[in-house]
Amino acid sequence: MIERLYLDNYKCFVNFEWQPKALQLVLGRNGTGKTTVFRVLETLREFVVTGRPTTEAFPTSTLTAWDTRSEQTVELELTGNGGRYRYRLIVEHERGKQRSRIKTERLQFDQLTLYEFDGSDAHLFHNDGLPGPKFPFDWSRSAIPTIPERPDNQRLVWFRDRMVRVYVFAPDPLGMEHQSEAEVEKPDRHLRNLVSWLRHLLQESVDTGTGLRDCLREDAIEGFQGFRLERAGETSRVLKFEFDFSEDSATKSTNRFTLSFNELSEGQRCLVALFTVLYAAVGPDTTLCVDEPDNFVALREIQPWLTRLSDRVHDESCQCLLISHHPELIDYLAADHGLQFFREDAGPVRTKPFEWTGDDAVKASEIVARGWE
Amino acid sequence: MARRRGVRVTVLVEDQSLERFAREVLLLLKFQRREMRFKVHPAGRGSAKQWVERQYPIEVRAYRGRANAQQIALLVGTEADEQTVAHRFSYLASKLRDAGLADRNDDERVVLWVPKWNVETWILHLSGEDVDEEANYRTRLRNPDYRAVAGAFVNRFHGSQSTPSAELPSLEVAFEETRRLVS
Repeated sequence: MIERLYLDNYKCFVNFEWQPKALQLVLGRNGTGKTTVFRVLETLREFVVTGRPTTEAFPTSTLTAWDTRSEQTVELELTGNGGRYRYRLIVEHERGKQRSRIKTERLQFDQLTLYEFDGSDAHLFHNDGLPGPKFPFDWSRSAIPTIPERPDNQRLVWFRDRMVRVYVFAPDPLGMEHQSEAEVEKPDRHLRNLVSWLRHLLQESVDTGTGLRDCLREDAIEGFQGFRLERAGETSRVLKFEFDFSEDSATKSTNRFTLSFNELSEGQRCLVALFTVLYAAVGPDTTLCVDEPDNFVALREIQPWLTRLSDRVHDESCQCLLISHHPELIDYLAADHGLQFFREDAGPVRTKPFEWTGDDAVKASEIVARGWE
Repeated sequence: MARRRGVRVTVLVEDQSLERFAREVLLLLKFQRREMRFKVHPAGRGSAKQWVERQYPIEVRAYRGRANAQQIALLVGTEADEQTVAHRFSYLASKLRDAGLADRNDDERVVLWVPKWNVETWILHLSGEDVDEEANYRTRLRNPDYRAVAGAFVNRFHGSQSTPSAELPSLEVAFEETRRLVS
């Protein structure tokens, strides 16, 4: 579980610390950095997993506008694999040249150093903390993605694999493609490649298809019976949904019909995306971040997804972080799981637990609407 | 068995343990998740018991305003703590009278679950542990398997309709109450 994120001199975050819980609803007005912290988690994943260059991951434009320092600090702490990982990255910027480079980078497990980059050399350490190889490395990207798996670096590799399972989504049903040209292992943030990701998931495991179908049928879409990927060319597949609005009647066969994914409403497409995420991106040692899952979804459709999500967080020891302005999510989650992001004037972002007294007369969402939080 | 389509259940409970237990039982009784709506007292915000007592007449009034036109139900979960289950029932009935409402009719789908002490007593009992209703087991429970516990509840509920069993007294009352939901 991600236990701590620290940001300094990064956009609107100065000396900012966030200690997320297993289930947390992040609340706050527009411009209080909610989406930005999700993006930072996504950026860190890309930085240590795929080797995204420093200049792309941490461009000079991400420096805090009012801060004149040239160093930017990002720290991430997470528990798992029987201990606590601490990752620390300091990026040095040249404002005039719009250049950024890694000044130092370190990964520790409990008190043991696993990896360190000092600006010129990368030092590897064994699982027990004893020094391993040292080699010159470029400061324009992290060396962590390049390190091959070996028996003596399992702890480092575990961290890297764990970062793969930091999922950040902001579903956008308007941009979701209904056709897949190829399987896609990695869903994008807006789930535009949902159908291709689903194609991959179905290929990986038959259970995924069955489980997702049951979820959608029972919790999400009335009349939904099943889905299939239909051939639409040599490699293309189109996602089709079967409906039946007379399940219990004698005329069952006459009321069946099929719709393509793009013929579903935006809300239904969003529900398909949300339940796919719930089914495929929630599990042990996983962090799922969803930015405004409620967009496009009808008021009464979101609680079934939420209850299933909170049940899985409890049952599978995973972590789920949500951002929402929706009264339904706020009323269901804010009192127990809410964290408020706020800024005084346009100053740095701070956090505080969501405050609600339990007053019957004013719901948590009404507190937010009135600005009483 | 097909799901109980169209029966919309409002669940009013004191805490998240009762919420989860109720949800798993309702699912096993073939209610649809999308037809359930949960109102749960947030932890650490005053008395959960008093919150349920205040919400109960409001929800019963809402239920009676819609029950003729729609298939709806109300499930209330509140803990007896040191009181008796009978006392808790009569206190909730008095809350209805205070609000100018009649007590529940036999044909109303308004269900009261009142575990003695708290739901942990039921969970431990349904998990096969030797418990009684004299002791408070709140602190003994860590990460229960709600699905399995709900399965035991539903199995015994169906069994209790044919043969009397040696259950915890508060659980026997809950089985009686649950018949209002599935009749």
